[in-house]
Amino acid sequence: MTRHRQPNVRIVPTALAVIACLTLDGAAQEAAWENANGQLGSLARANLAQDHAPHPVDLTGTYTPEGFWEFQPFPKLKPAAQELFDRVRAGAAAGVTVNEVTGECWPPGMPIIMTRVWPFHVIAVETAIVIVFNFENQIRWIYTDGRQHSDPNVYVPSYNGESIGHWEGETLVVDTRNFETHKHFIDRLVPLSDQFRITERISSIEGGDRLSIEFTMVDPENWEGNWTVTKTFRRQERMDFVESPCLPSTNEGLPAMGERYIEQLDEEPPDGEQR
Amino acid sequence: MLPTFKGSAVLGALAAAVLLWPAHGHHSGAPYDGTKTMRIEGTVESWRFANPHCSLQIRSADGSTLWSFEANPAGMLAAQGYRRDTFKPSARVTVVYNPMKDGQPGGGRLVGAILSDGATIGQIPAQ
Repeated sequence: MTRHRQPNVRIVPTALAVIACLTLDGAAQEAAWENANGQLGSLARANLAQDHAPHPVDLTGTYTPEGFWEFQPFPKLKPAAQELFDRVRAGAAAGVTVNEVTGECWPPGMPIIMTRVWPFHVIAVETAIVIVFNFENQIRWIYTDGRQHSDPNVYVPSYNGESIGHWEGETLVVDTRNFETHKHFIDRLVPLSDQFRITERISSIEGGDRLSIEFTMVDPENWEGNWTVTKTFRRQERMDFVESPCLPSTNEGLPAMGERYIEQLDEEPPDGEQR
Repeated sequence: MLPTFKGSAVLGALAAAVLLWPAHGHHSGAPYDGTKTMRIEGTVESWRFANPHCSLQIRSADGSTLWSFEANPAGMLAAQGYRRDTFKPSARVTVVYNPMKDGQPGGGRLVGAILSDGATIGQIPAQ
């Protein structure tokens, strides 16, 4: 004889209420990721449907940086920045790496992420240009939907900064600010402050075979005037890439990353500040 | 047109600079002497085929020393013929490498290798 269990009349409504609460909590939680200033997402259907002027040049492609990654010539550095610069250079000459932030998995950040050897993909839609870097899976968004920079008190500081672009003829002009400055250097050599800003003038040259980017960088706390350097990048046609994470095990067994060859900076966070 | 002496000096300096650049860019290569290449024979302990850089460990022929070498990213080495199984555990291998600047007994950057079957991979400068 088959026995049929009767539903528990108290448990069923309770379970339904819990499911309802979880659903509501989930929706509220998802909404919590929305832009704090109410800005439409760059890939929102409503944003893409707006009448944005088409990009005069399609920069979509894969590129590799040409030449050495340093931004030479260097500007006249302020004394504290010069002191670090000299210390890093002296260390290298002696076979010691001073301030090995990137090797220890701190993001290289702008501008070095653009020039540091590895390839990157540029993916352009009307509202944004996305740069996906092979190096440490970094990413940059350059918004071209007419938005303004965020209130720095709201924007979460980032190593690649907040980039807003507009076109001047066939040149994309990008203003990047709101940087994270903790452990963010220009190639270990030059420290950065919250006054750091970059203007890039990006042009497709030689029929699209190369990119030219003029970087103009300012940080009155660390150097005098404008630091302007032009870098070029070569388009690549047979290049996809897989992830390149910096992991706790990444440097295991690498002689150059052994303790005897690394000299840390004596840097303490400000009182009460947690990192 | 042949380069002048001055031009040669400039080209030489550029070539030296290129040798000193860490090709993978993940960390500094300051402890390595990119101007010298050396060889050592041993047996493979481990081979890591990965980004952001590969690494190879071998034990010296007399068994006394473990040598560690770093190499370029797998993404770059694959195009040069390196594979996940290029260096098999316990296989004999001769490694061509850039030594440490301070002469410490340890590995530097992997330049190339001669495998147990005599096949070569990477760059093997004439001795």
